[in-house]
Amino acid sequence: MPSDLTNERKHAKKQIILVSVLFFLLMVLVTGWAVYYATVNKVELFNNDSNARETLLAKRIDRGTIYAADGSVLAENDASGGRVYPYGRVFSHVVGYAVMGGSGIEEYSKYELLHSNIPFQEKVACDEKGVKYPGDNIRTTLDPVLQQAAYDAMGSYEGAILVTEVSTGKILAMVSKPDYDPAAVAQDWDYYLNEDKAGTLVNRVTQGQYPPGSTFKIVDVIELLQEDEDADATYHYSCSGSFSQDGESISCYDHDVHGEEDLTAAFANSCNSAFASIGLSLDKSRYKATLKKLLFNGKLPYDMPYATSKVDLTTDISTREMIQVSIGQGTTQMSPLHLNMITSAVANHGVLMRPYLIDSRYNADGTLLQTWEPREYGELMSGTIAAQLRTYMRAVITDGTATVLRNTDYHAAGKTGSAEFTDDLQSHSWFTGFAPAEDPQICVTVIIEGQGTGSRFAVPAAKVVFDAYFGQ
Amino acid sequence: MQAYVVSYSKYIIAIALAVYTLTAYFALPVRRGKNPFFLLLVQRLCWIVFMVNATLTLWKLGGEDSRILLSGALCVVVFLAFMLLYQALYEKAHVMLFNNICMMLSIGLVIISRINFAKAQKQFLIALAGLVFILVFPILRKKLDYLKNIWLLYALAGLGMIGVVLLSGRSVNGANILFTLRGFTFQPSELVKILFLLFLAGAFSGGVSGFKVFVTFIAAMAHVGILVLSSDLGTAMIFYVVYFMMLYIATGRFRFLTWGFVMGAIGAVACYFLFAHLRLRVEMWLDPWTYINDGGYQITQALFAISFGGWFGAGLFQGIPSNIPFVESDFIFAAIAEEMGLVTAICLVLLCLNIFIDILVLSEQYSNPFFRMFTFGTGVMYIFQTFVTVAGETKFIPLTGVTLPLVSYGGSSVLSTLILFGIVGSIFILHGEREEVFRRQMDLEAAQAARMEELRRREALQKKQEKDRERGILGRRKPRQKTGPGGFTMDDPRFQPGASIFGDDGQNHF
Repeated sequence: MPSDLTNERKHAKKQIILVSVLFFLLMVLVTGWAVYYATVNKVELFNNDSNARETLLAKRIDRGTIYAADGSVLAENDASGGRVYPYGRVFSHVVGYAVMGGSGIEEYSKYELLHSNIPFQEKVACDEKGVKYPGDNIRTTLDPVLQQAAYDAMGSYEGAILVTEVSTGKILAMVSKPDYDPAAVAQDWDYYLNEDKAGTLVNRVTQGQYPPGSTFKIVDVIELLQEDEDADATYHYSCSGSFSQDGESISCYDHDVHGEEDLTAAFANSCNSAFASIGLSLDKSRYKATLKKLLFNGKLPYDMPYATSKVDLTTDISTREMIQVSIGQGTTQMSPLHLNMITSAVANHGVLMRPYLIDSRYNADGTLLQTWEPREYGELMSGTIAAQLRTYMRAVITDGTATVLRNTDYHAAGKTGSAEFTDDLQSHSWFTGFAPAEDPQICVTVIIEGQGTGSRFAVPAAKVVFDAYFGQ
Repeated sequence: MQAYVVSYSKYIIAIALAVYTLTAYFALPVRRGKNPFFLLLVQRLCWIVFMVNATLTLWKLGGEDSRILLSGALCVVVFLAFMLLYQALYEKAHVMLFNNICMMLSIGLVIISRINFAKAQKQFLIALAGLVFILVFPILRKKLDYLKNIWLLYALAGLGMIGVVLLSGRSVNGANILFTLRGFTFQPSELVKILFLLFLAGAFSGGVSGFKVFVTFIAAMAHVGILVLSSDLGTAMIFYVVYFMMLYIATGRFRFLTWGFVMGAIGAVACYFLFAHLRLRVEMWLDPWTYINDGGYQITQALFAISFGGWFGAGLFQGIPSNIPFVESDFIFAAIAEEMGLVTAICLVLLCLNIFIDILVLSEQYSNPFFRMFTFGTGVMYIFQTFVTVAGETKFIPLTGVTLPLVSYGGSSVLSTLILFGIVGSIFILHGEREEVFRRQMDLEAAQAARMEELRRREALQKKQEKDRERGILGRRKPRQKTGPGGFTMDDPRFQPGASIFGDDGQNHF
C-alpha cells in the first residue's frame, strides 16, 4: 500500500539523519583530536630522538646561535658549519652538544635553532647564493659571570652547582663536574663510554641522585610546623650526643653534645638526635602527603631531562628506617635541582617559580619572535612556614654549621648537609641557601662529591657564587 | 625560484582546497539533480589551480623530471574529460559527486607521486579503469532492479573469496589479506565490500522479517569472523558497523543499534583475550613510545609527520613521510598532513564528510528500498573506513591499517570504491529519469483532468444557461470563476514523491 511506503520513508528519514549526525560528530572529534595532538606536542615530537627531521632540517638550516643573558655567545656555527663554544668547558653540561644524539640546550631547543624565520626576500637571497637559511637564535637566562664563578669555585672536585633567581625561576648558572669539551664530544665519544668516565656527560644538577643528608631537615621542619603551629615557641630538646628508641640509635655528627635546644638551635646545629625524635613523632600519612606536595616520588616542573627524587615513607615504617628518612639518609635520593626548588620556594614565600633556561627567541636579523615568561608552579608550603624557615636558615649562618658566610655584607641563609653514601662514612658535602635573607634574590645549591661535611667544602663554594653576584 | 616554490606552493594548495571545500558545502543544499553552473565552475577552477601548482612543485623539487609534467597534464585532461563526458552523456547525472571524487583522486595522486612516482602512475591507470566503469555502467541502469534478487549469492561468493584468502593468501604486514593470481596481486576483501553491500541491500529490500534478520546476521558475522582470523581487523570493524547501520535503517528499530554496540564491545574484549595480534595492536596504541623502535615505530613516525607540518605543511618534498612504513597505503593522511599541512588535512576530512552527507541525502530520497539501502550502505562504509584510517593514524584508536578510500595507494581499494560510487551514480541517474517520467505522466494526467473539468464546466454552464433561458431571467446571471485548472491539490497522494503509480508489485517505486 502506498501509505505504508510513505510511513517507511518517514521512518528512514529520521534514522538516516541520526546516522549522519553520528558520523559527522565522530569525524569532527577525530579531526579535532588530530589537530590538537599535532599542534600541542609539536616541539616535543620534533625533539624526540627517533624523529629524523632534525637531520633533515640541519641540511637546509644553519643551526642558530645560543646567547647568554648578557648577549655573549655560548654556542654558534662558524663559517664552515662547525659548532663553536667560546666558553669551552664552562657551560659544557647546560649548553650541551648537538652531535651524538645531543644534550642540554642544544638538544632541548633544537626546534627553535633549526627553524628559520628570516623574511622571505632573505630566503630568496640565500637560495641565489646557494647557502643554508640561518636558523633562529635563542637567548638563555644564563649569567656568564656567575657561571664562571661557580665553575671556578668547584675547582677540580666532582659535583654540581645550581644558581636560580628566586622571584622568576630563571637559571643563572648550572655547573656539573667533571666537565667535557663540547666541541670534541664526537671524537671523544668512545673515551666517555669507558666505565670510569661514564658519568662525565651526565648533568649532575638535574640527573644526579644523591642522599640529601641534613639538608632534608628543611623538609622535616616544614612537616613539623604544619602539624604543630606552635612548635617554634614550644619545641624543646635536650641533646646528649645520641638518640635511642626501640633499640635503634643515632648519634650527632662527631658525637657533639648540643645540650638544651629550641627548634632554631636544633636546626642550626643540624642536630641528628633532635631530628630523629622529631621524625618519629610526626604523623606518617600526613608526612607522606607533604612529601608529595614537595614533589618527591613524582614529576618536577622542569622541561629538560631530570631524575625523580625518592623517599620511601610508608605508614608502617620501622623506627630504624624513619630515623634514616628524617636525616635524609637510607634510600632517600634527590637531585640538586629538586633541592634548589624547595629552597627557592622557602625564599619566595612558599611559592615555587618553575626553573627555566630559555628566555627568548629571535630570527637571524635579531627580530624578537617569542619570549618565555616566568611561570608560577604553585605553593609548596604556606607563607608563614616559609618565613619561619628563613629565620632558621639564617641561624645556620649566624650560629650554626655555615659560619663561613657570617661576615659578609649580604646576609645569606641556608642549610648544610653531609650525606653518607658508603659504609665507611665517606660523605657528600651539601649546601643550599639564598641571599639576602631579608629579601632573597638568588638561590644557590651546591654539592661536592665525597669530600666530607658541607661546612668545609660546599659553603665556601657557595660563598664564591654569592660574592660574585653581590659584587665582592 | 626554489624559495618561491617552497614558500608559496603550499599556501596555494591549502587555499585552493579550502575554497573547493567551501563550494562543496554550498552545493550540498542545492536540489538534487540540479547542477549549479557557477559552483561547478569555481570547483573546477580550484581543482585546476591545485593540479597545476602541485604538478609544477613536484616537477621543480623532484628533480625536474619531465615525466611528472606529462603525467600531471594527462591527469588534468583525463579527469576533465571524464567530468564533462559524464555530464554530457547523462542528463540526470549527479555531477557534483564526481567532481568531489576526482578531487580526492587528485590529492591522492599528488602525494603518491611525491612518495613514489612509479606507484602514482600505476594508481592513475587503475583510477582510469574505475572512471571508465563509472562512465559505462549507467548504460545498464534499467537492469539495476534485478541486482537485488540474488542477494544470498553475493554473501556466499564473498565468504568464499575471503575464506580462500584466509587459507591460502599471502601475508603482508602481519595480515593475511592479499591474493596473487597470475602475477596480479589483489586484495579480495576490497571486492567483497561491494558484494557485502549488494547482499545486505538485496536482503533488506523486500521487507525485513525475523528470518531475514537471522540469515543476514549469520552471514555478516561470518564475514567479520573470517576477517578477524585473517588479521584484517580494520575491514572486520567496517563490515560489522555497516551491517548494524543497515539493519537499523531497514527496520527502523533503534534497539538493533544498541545490540550491535553491546555485542561489538563484548566481542572486542573477547577477541582481545583470544588473539595475540589484537592484544599487540592495543598495546602499541596505549604506549607506542616504549616500543618506539619496533612495534610502535609506525605510529610514532606517523605522529612525528603529522606534527611536523603545522597548519600549512612543510611543503612537498620538505618532509620525510617515507620514514613511515607503508605510508602510501596506510598512512597517506599523515603524509598529507606533513607536507600539505593541517588545513589541507582538515579540508580532506571535510570533503569526505561532504561526500558522505551527499550520499545519505540521496539515499533518503529513494523510496525503492534496494536503491535506498545500497546507497546508504555505500555512504556509511565510505565514511567509517575514513574514520578508521584517520583515527588509527592519529592514535585516536588502535591502528588497523586500512586505506583512505580514493586517496591511498592501492589498486583494489581505489577500484572497488570507484565501482561503488559508479553504482550509486547509476542509481541516481535512474531515479532522476523515473522521477522525470513520473512527473511527465502526472502532467499529462493533470492536463487531461483539466480538459475534462473544463468540458464539464462548460456543459454545466450551458445547462444552466439553458435553464435560465427557460426561466427567462437572463439579465441576473453572475458567472463564477474557477481558481485552478481541474481542481487538483498538492495533497493528492500521487504527487507525494515516492508514491507508486505502477501498483504494489514492489518493482517500480522510485
